[in-house]
Amino acid sequence: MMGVAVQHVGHSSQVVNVYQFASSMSNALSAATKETFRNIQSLKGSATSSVSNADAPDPQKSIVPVLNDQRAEVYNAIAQAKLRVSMVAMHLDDAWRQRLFAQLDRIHDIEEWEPEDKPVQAQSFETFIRTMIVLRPRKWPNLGLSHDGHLLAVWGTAQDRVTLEFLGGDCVRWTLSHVRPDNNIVRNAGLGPSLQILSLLSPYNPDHWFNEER
Amino acid sequence: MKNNIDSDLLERLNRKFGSLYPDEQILKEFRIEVSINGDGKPPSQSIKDGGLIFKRTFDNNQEIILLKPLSFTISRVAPYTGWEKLLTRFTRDWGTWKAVTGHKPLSRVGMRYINRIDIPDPSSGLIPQNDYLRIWAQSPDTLGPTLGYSVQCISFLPNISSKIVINSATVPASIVPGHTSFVLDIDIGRDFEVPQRDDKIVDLLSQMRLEKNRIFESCITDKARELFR
Repeated sequence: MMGVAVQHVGHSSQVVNVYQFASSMSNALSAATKETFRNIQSLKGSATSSVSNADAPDPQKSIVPVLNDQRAEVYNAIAQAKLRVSMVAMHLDDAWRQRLFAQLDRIHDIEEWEPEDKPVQAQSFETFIRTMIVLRPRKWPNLGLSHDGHLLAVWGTAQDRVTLEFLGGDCVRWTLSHVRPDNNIVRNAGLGPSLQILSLLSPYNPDHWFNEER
Repeated sequence: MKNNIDSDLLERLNRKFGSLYPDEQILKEFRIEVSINGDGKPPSQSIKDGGLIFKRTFDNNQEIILLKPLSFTISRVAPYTGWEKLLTRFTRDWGTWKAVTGHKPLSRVGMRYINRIDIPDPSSGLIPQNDYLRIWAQSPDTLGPTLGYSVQCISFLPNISSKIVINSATVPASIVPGHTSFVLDIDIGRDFEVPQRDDKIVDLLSQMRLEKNRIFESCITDKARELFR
């Protein structure tokens, strides 16, 4: 059972605060009250929209217009990601930040977008930011996007590389191909928390991917 | 503003700002009221349509303008470029606003600075809030360590006839790994004898900013300042 309050927060985003009541209350509430909460719940998902001028909703037709425009979804995802970058701007190098913005725009090129593609997911991007603050790499990765909206970061060359896939909940999936000093190639993969990524990769001399110049 | 700007005028404003803030989001404001009585009667609900809000951004969403029926807001997210640039931007955008709407009586002028202070987690896992902040929640030792808090102080600044609201709170999950974060949110506003002339508005904002600086410095300790260096 959910209760909803709406407030305008800060300078920009419209926020719907959701308060969760114990499910045991459900039996204590009348059908009318439950209907009220269902109506509120149906409004929560449509509170924010992003449209071009040509698609501006007619406020007379509905209280909260529902939009499924893919362009809007991509725009919102990029906007949220950039907002998250600003939240840690003091921990990031300015040139790093600008490069990240440019790459975010590039990997979300709407002209090459497939209908089934997903833009960067907020939780994935947050894991990426946290990981980058931990790693503080001197070398910038190549960024990409998985089919389901997970950000990917790749360091290295074709034969000697590490790929990090940033999942939600501070979880990072890594795959690597490492050329050992004896020229043997080791391949490995794993999953772990972002805070521990360096120790998880430590057997493979991660510094040569993240920091050393070739 | 004292009076609403109608939707047609708001949409004209939105188009006018398009060249300065190319990226647009159209939001919808609504107010939901639910009254649940304890006397067994069914709850009553009302949904009030607050109209459209136009949010426009520039420079990778770092510069923002918010156009609402009753207010005009400009803001900047980190990294900040300094007061002079913000004031220049305000003067430009306020001029653009007035060129479209004409003179509208103002009911409030204000500014808000939302700061987040990131403190490296110590080995003990405990951060004494008063080591960093002078506004915090104090509780008896018998309760043990504070896991989170949120406090608000409201005061009056007589030299600029303005109200100040300071919010201090823990951030539930810091986005910065290995850190605990606190918010120090300073909001200064004047809704009494609000200046209507542009030069007086700018004067007031400049004075508010000086007050904000003074108050911010008084709300943090030297240990917090070390984090900013």
